[in-house]
Amino acid sequence: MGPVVGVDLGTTYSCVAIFQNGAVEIIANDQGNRVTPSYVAFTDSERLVGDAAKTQAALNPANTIYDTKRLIGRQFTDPLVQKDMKLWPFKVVPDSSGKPLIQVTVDGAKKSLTPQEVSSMVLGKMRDTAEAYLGKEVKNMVVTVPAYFNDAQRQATKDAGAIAGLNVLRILNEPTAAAIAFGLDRSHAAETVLVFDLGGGTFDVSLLSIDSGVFEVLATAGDTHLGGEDLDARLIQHLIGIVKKKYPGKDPTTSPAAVQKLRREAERAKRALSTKTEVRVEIEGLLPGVDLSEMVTRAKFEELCADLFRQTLLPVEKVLEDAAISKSDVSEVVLVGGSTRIPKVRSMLKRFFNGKEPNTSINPDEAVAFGAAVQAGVLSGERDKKIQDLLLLDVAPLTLGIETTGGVMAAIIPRNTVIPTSKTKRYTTAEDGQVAVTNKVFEGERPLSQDNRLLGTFELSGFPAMPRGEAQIDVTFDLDANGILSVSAREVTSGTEAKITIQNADRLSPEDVERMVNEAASYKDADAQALGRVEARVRLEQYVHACRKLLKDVELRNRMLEEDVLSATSDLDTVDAWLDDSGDHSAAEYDERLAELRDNSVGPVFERYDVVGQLHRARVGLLRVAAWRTVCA
Amino acid sequence: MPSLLQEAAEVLGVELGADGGPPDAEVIAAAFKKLAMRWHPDRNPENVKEATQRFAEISAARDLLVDPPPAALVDEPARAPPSAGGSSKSSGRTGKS
Repeated sequence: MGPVVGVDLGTTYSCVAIFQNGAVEIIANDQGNRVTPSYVAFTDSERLVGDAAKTQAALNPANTIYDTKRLIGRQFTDPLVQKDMKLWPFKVVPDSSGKPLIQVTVDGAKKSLTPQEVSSMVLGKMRDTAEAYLGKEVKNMVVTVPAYFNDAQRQATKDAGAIAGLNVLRILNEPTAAAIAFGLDRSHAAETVLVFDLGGGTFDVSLLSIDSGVFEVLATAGDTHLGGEDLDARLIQHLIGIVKKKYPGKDPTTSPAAVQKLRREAERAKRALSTKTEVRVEIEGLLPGVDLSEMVTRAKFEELCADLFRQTLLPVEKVLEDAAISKSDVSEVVLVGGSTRIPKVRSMLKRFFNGKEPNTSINPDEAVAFGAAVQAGVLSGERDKKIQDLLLLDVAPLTLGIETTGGVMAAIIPRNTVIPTSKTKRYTTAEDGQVAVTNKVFEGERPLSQDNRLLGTFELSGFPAMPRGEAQIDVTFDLDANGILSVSAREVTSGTEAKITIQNADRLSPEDVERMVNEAASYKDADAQALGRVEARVRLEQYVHACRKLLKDVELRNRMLEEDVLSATSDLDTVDAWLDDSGDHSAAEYDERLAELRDNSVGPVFERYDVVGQLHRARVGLLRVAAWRTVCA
Repeated sequence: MPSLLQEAAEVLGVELGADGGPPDAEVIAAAFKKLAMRWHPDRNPENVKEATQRFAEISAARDLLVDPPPAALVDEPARAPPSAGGSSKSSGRTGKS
């Protein structure tokens, strides 16, 4: 099946890794970075993904998309979506079925994207990063999600992979992946480990037992909407308050660019406060005539986020209770996710576990991708003694059930049931001659189904008419290793397969996925074009640069005629001005200018002094690197 | 007719306790781990369908023995009261809703 990579698809950053030759390698992107911002941006001429997209975010706020993990698998009316939208500089609108769409403007035209499509672009970028490193095509991936992601969020993440033309072999839970990173090289007796995973946008706690290669999740809990970004948001609100007080009548929230600058500086300040006790936030020209310069102390930051920090202990208590394990039986508290660098988070956990120091032995930014790569190795059939006895036993994060009389939720698969699992429930008919039965499937922990999330309504039909109570319809709920549910049914007495139709399901239809796959392929052409254009521009820039370097060479200058120096300099100036002044040109236009320089103006001049070879050598090495630096395909 | 407990014990290949209640937690865990290694679908890529089925049975049997529903205990006639049997096992695996 070719190489299988592990991808941590994060709210704010993503990371890709591969298991080969008995070890995991985290793969750096074209910028040399081991994590890539989960950002996608549209400019008038191209699509940018990753570092290139994040870098230009403040200049192009309305067309720079991030945080799609906070939208994926949710409804537009979800209160959390409504709340997040207030801080997003890009526009989110509902589609006809109430799902959110992100709206950007490309070439003057409005374009709507589903969260799945945006995530598919990030996954595509991670694939490209892996392909560039491996020199091989990558078709298969293990993608991680928060353990507490529900069915719709998992399915949507899988769809994102399909849109990128990838086969998602497994949706793996992030804390489980981190536990593998922690436990893989540990030759230790059986131990109980609590993984505390506070990332950029989501929070998970999983309790696992690790025993000679078997990683068994005992319980999991979390909050799919709590992370570093929520801490940033508190800091942003604080800074906005200060600006408003200092400059009455000025409101940074009216300017997407200002909010974007605040966001960048708040994130920076938060990171600094993990090592320093105070930091100055400075933004010149936040708004016209408004400069911000404010000292933020660690104590102030902790006060702003106090309730959020406290909230993180609830899932810790819940997993201990669910698994009936006491604090003192936990042998290690493993920290994962960038936000666990925050001293307050660490001190709180230490206090909760009666003074036990949290374990910081794994890299909080890379551990999830590391574990995903190991599982990818296992699933690809990699023969290696390190992983041949490795087995992951994960669980369902949420109870799945059906609505019974009086709107009561009847659990069919209770939460923390090991997956894959399969449960069968027998139904009968309530009336004579009834030939259809309708059921609603819910997900959640509340006793009344109306308080839980509706996964879908299924109708059983296609069985013969029988007196009431005689039909015996077995409905089977299969929860696969990805935590994704499928339902099938069979009428036992007649032996017929009952037909199941699921309505209101939060899923993309196969047709939707196919349409998006085709659109994604069209980006590939556009990306290739953009790359061709950037490469042509870089060729021209490098040629000019090499010429200027030659002109500075003392030995050459001494033997050049003054008029040759002047004409060459003037020709180069003209091209530089053309490059600076105008927008994007086609690859052909850049090449035309290059040919003109090389064949008709400066080229022949240098030829007369016999230094053209030197010119060529200086140019070649830099070319590809520079092109890749500019475009993110 | 064998009781639910008896069936679960057979799936896991363990003996019920002398009182007809579930065996010790360590015994259940060890048997489960061994069978999970054998039947987890990730370890049976050539035979995913059967393995998935078997694995589901194994884990259901484990769940039943670890946290027996009251019905599984009272089903059996001529048995010591549940308090003397497996009901003292408290390590519930499944969530409480």
